[in-house]
Amino acid sequence: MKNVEGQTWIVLGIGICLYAYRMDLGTFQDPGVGFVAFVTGIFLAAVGILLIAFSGEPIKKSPGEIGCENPASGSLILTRTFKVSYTVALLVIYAFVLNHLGYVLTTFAIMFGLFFDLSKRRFAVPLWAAFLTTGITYLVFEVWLKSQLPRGIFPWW
Amino acid sequence: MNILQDLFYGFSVAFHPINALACFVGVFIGTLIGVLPGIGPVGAMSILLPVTFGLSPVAGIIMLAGIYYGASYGGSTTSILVNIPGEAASVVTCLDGNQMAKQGRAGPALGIAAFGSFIAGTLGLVGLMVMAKPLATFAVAFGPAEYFSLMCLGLSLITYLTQGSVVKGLAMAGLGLFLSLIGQDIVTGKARFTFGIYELQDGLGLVPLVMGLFGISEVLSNLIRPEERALLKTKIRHLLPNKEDWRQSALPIGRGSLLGFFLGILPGGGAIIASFVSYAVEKRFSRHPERFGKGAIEGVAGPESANNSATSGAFIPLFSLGIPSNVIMALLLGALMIHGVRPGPLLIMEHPEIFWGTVASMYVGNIMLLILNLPLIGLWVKILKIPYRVLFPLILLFCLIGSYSINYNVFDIFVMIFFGLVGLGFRYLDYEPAPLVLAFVLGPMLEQNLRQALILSDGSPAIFVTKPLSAACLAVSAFLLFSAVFRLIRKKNKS
Repeated sequence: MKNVEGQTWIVLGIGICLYAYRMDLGTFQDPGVGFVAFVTGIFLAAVGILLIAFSGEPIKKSPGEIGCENPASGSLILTRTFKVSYTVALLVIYAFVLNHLGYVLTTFAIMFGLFFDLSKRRFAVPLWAAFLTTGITYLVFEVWLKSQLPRGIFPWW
Repeated sequence: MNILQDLFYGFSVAFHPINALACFVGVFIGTLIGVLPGIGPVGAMSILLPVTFGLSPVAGIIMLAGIYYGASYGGSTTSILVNIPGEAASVVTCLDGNQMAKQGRAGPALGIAAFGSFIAGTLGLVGLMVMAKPLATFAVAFGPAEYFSLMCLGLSLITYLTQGSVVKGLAMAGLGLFLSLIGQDIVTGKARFTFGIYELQDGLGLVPLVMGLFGISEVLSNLIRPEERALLKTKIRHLLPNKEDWRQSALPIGRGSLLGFFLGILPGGGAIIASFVSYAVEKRFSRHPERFGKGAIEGVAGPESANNSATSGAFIPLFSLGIPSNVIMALLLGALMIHGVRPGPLLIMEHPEIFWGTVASMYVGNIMLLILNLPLIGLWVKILKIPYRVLFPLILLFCLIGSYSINYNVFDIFVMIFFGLVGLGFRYLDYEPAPLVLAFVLGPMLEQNLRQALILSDGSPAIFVTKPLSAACLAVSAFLLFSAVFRLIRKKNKS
């Protein structure tokens, strides 16, 4: 795995170097647009080489991870992976339709999707939660803080 | 005398109704996110950054600073009552704080954490007042070479002190530097690495990047690996520590304050390391080290004081040099720049209201926190019971609104989602995102100073080693990096 990681950094580093070289490296007296980028590319490639060379380096766990190492079964992992994919898909859809449908409609729909519990399949609670969060955030951001949230197909909102 | 006059001026700024409200909102949200899982101070600050656009720069910075030190207070509550740190700087408080709670002493544990934090926060502020101005006066004489080397030292230190692998920390710093280069060149205005995408002409935004790396990735990670939160069923009483508690805690609070303050100044140091070092020091100084881990009050008082004092210390490099020492300070630096304030040694002279207003607001904020954390402890315990399935949609919504409100452009939402997924990948591959964010913020300044120094020296890189301060910084950076590599070589040879 570390070899793949190292190779990725090397490829990225070389890519940056080539791009920077094409732009204009300049000279030491007058560094060009690509000067720092070129150095950064070399640095990243060198780090990639180090990663491959020291692939046995032990990894310390970060303090935030203490106490959250729950071994999960295969089906649980599948369920959780689906939940993450579902959440990311909702976020991407939000970004795509926000300007077209406007803040109120898009947020209501997405919040309903996020609050909706796939295992329980109850509609009333997520509907109310989506309604409340959309209403409150609209009041806070649009009315109180005067943010210009997109109006979309309903310009009076 | 001057300091006192300046401080009074600061209080006049801090007590302005809008600034006082901003301070209250900041410390309240800080405590809230310290208590709640799934979002840390960095994520919360980046979400609220757009909210500060409607405020004056001083009110905005006061609010963001409030979130920072408020989170340190709030984090201890979950450590003590649930044995899960609300944020990384409170990890070590779990060891003895939760044991005290299990023994029916949750009240004194919460009390000493709040009082220790208050005392340390106040002492740290005295240090900040005394040290920041002289350092800024000294730093006025710094040239591009010194600045470049100081930033290199900052990046090396944060990489060296990173939680995971040092090599991965270096990779993150390099990637952050590269990402900061995207957009128009600072000298010629020529577009770099934009690949024909118009929205990238202005470069990547700090807020979508940070929200993605810290907010979205945290939520996604929690969806994959949910934390079990078993709230201790104990009555919280006697929040005021007794005489014996005070006797045992007085010296740890003093030592923690001092240690935390100086570790906070160091780039990459900050509250997390300060709390761990303080715990180790207290265990070493204790006549009964065997009590540690079994409910020793010193194990709560020392680290909680250290992490709060470190938050004050971390402001020194930002206010006096314009160099952030950690990710949160990098975000504050970004906020200052968005508000049109140029951080650096002249900030205290040109914008005394920001420096002294923030310092004074931190005194006020510490008192507010004491009131919020002791009499209102019941409220925070209730909040602890909110299930994550209710919290995560709200966190995501605030991230979406926050990233959109920066430029009113959905492109920023896409950037945030992209870095959310990248951040999730980094979490699983054990890459720490802190060096990336710091390098991203320092990148433009680093490039500008490097190019200026080379032009000034007529292309001679010797300028970086002939100036004593620059040479010293580079020598320390080189030493840190080489020592890390040598350590790896030794380990590799052994295995």
